[in-house]
Amino acid sequence: MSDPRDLLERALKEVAGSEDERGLDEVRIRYLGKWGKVTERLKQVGSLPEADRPAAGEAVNRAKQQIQEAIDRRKTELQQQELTERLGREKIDVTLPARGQSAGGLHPVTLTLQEIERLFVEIGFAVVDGPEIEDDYHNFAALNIPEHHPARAMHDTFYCNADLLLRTHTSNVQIRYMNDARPPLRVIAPGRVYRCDSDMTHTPMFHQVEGIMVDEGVTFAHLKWVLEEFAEHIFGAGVNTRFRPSYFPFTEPSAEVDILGDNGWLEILGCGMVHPVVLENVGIDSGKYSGFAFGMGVERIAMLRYGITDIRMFFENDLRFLHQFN
Amino acid sequence: MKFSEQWLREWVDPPVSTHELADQLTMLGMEVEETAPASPGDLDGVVAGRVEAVEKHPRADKLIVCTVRKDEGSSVTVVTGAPGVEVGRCYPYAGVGLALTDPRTYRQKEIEEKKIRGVTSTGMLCSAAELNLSDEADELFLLDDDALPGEALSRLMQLDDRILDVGLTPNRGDCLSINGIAREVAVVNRLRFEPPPATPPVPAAHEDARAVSLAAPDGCPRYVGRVINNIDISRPSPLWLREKLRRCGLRCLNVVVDITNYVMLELGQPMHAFDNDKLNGAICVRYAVAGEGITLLDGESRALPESTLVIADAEQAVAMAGVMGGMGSAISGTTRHVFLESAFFTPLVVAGRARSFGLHTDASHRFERGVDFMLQRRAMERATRLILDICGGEPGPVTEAVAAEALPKQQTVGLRPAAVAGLLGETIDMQECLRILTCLGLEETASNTSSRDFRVPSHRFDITLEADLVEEIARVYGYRKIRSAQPPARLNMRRTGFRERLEQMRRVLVQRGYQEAITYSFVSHTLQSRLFPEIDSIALLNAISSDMERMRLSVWPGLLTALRYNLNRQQERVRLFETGKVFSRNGKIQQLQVIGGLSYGTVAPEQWDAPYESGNFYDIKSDVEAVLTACCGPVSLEYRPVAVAALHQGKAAEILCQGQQIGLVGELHPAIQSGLEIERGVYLFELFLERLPGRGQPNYEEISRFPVVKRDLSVVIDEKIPIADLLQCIDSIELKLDAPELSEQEIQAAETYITGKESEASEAPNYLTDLELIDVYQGEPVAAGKKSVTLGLTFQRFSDTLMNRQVDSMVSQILNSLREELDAQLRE
Repeated sequence: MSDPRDLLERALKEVAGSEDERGLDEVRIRYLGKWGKVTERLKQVGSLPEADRPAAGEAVNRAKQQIQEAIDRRKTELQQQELTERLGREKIDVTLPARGQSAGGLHPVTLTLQEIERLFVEIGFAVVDGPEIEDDYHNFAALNIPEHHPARAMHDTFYCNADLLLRTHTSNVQIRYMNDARPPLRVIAPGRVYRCDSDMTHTPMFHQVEGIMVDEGVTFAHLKWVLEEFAEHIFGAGVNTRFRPSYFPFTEPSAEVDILGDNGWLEILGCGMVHPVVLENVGIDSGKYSGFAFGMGVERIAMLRYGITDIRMFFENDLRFLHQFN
Repeated sequence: MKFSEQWLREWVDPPVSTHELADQLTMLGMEVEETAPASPGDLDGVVAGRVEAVEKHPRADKLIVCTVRKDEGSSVTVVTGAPGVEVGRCYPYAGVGLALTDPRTYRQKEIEEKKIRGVTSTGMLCSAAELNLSDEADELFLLDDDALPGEALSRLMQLDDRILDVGLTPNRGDCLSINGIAREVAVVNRLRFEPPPATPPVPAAHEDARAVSLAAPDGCPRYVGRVINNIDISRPSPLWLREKLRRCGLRCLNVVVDITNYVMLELGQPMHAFDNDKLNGAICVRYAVAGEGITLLDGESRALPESTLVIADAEQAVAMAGVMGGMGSAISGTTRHVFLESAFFTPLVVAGRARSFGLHTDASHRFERGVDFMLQRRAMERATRLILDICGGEPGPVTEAVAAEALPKQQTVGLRPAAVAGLLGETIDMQECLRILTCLGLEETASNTSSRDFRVPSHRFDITLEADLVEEIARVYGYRKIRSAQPPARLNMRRTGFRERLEQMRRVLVQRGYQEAITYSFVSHTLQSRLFPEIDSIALLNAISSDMERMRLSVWPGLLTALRYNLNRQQERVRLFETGKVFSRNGKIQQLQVIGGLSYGTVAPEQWDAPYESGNFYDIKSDVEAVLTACCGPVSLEYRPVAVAALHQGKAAEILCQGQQIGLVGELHPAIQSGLEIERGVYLFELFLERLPGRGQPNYEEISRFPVVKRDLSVVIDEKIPIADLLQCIDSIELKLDAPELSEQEIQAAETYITGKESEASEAPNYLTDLELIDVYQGEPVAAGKKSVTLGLTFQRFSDTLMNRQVDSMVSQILNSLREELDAQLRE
């Protein structure tokens, strides 16, 4: 029986020479298969003299093991090679755009409104809603604006009939809410309001957020803190705010809040301490409770935040405009 | 209100700059909107020139040649076309070489010596427009006769002045005068307010007077009148007076009207002057009688409603009280005797009146905000004195009619020491509070340890409560000095509400490519009535245009308008949604919250590697279901074909949930679509948010650990049978498990054991765990009028693995039911 070394050498050469897994498997069958050369050689060991058998057997087995190891190595190698080739073939252009539905977006007024709501909700304000077609009482009289009050001239009102009108502010919700609820009260009322006016800075419909807080011991100093904090969050830290005395029939004292812009002070909202008459109108004891209220135009704040100069853009719904806020 | 800083400083002169003064006023609640110089152009070099002689131009009818003394020693020749130039009068003279700003082009124009039709003109005489003082361009700007030729115009006119424009809130009628503003400036600068002393009464020079009766004391509780005879109306108003009026934004008319306007600006009392010769008999302040009318100074004739307060003589209404005088009794160039009026009209009787006539006058503006009801006599004496000084005349006695009981009552308001800090959250020294209130004209009438009482001055109509006193203190003290304080709060928890649900729906639509729109709540009636001809919409009485005349019944009109807007701007794929209220009148007014959407064009945006398909009904239906699932969780919905004018009758459904209509979905009616010039189909939906069911808590259901068995089943049914009926039919079949080795009780027991739910033991176990619609097909080889439906059936047991034989049996049961109920045939 010849030395298995030459067999081993040939086998290893063939393993190394195999070019794919199938070829490699053929090599394996040729040497290690049932009728393979190594298997044959192993069978021949039995025919050797008794004394030679262990050494010869061991030599053949060692060769067998080495071939098997070589095959395994080569197999891994070939698999790796094939995978590399496949990955190369399958390369795609990852810079091509994504496919399928592309997301739309929310209206800039909604985005601003959501931010305003979030800030107040975080400090415990509830969000309430009310009717947009309103009666004279809830829009004006209950808010201490009797008929013929000059303040009505500031609210160019749309009328549906002698008593029904489109609310000129969301303050009507204040009245409707306070009619039912008792202090402590912390609510905001966002929504659409209407005034017959139309130019670069006025549209006949716009959005307001009205807020009110009523409890024992609520003061103007508290109002200042809440609105200064609000301005900081909406317009960025360090924004310069000022409270300027103003007049609203439903607050006393009243103020307007301005922020300092690049070209001077810009009014952002109106506010004040709830007028005692308004509290009495909804059955809240103005001797025991006090409160503050504020109201702001959402479009105005959105315009300042986004640098929009014509308020009418909000309601044209031009997709080229709306897409910019997605 | 516009006013001259110089004039204000005649009344109170704090050591602050114009800028500081403006800031002080703003922070007092009188926002200074603009500060402008008294003369916008540079008038350096313009001097007074006296016209010494006027000759006709030899070669031009409309021109005159003036000899103008331009300084102490020299005269020049100036050609001008201005009318009314008088010898001896002084006018602004701009010499050769001077550059004036052209009022039309805003360009500097240098004055040159030039020959005008043969006459050399050296320099020019100027109109107010040429000096950029006003737009009056015809006549030359008249200077006072005592001006010295060569005197600088800027000195003569005291042009070193600024015009401040303050925005006054409607409660501050008292600040519509120099007097009122000066009071505020004094208090904030800690100065004593010392107005010029009131004019002493001017004694009567004769007995001519008009009797005055107050027939409507609620509207006019005080009326002061006076006749002044023999005035010289031809005298021009002096320059100082005209300049003050101009700087306060008033036009000059004639000397008497200028003086009444001056007194109004100075003291706040609107006055009126009648031509006394045009009045007949006694004056009566009364309401208009039926059928009465008047021609006002603006030349317009107006019918007077009976609620209108008028000044009438013995024959007719001669003025609309507090608004405007009548044409018939107006001061004219021939007036010799005047009747002056200084009255108090109550705010209520004037308020809204002028506006109802489309008028807004300086008088109505003041009366509706409240004029000091103690001021009338003082104003009358002031006006009389000025008239006598400027245009002569002989005053009669003052006639004053008063209905004392109808005059406003001077209120007394108490202030508790704790109230200031209680409302403001800032402690202000009581002495400072007292100083502020006293300086504003409030008078302390009583005080004890718990409260101090203050009498409100007659010029304030806005102080009735303690809070009003606190506001006065706060705004003078300074809002900026009040330190902000974090509020303490009593906490509450709240339930998830409507807004959170709305948020989820919005999010779903955004993810599905919809852009949120906000459209006006009022829409065109033309479009809306085409969409909803059968529903009554709410009209606006004073709509601003026909596009915005009706309250919307749906968000569709607005979204369709927005679609058209975008299609006109080359957008090809438009997906919009909107949330908001819609309004209808169904007996009473209904305001329902909706979410609605519109889809036009392809399902997905145009892209490089995807089918570029047009969206259809089923795409928008999928969006609707996604929205509903986001809001309500898995709900069972029913889609029922519906006929509405807005939608294609074959592609429209109402969506029902538990029998209630919760919305509509469908394709826009093709006739409306083509009417709107929209090229392709538009898909629409709208859901009524108040009708959507709430989202319940999910109930966990046991998951079977045995394998599922899937079978496909194709059946042929009549094409008219809705798929929903087919699915419903299968759903209602009670499948029997073909299991001879077990009795029915044993099966039930086994199911109960596995699910562990006693209650479900009585219900039939659900072996068909999933039912999918795989395909719907019409056409060869399926017979005409039929459709082939392929269903994917999934079976599963809780207690055991299903055997093929058992599944076969259940498929047969299904097929049998479909055959019986819907005449379905197995498709071979």
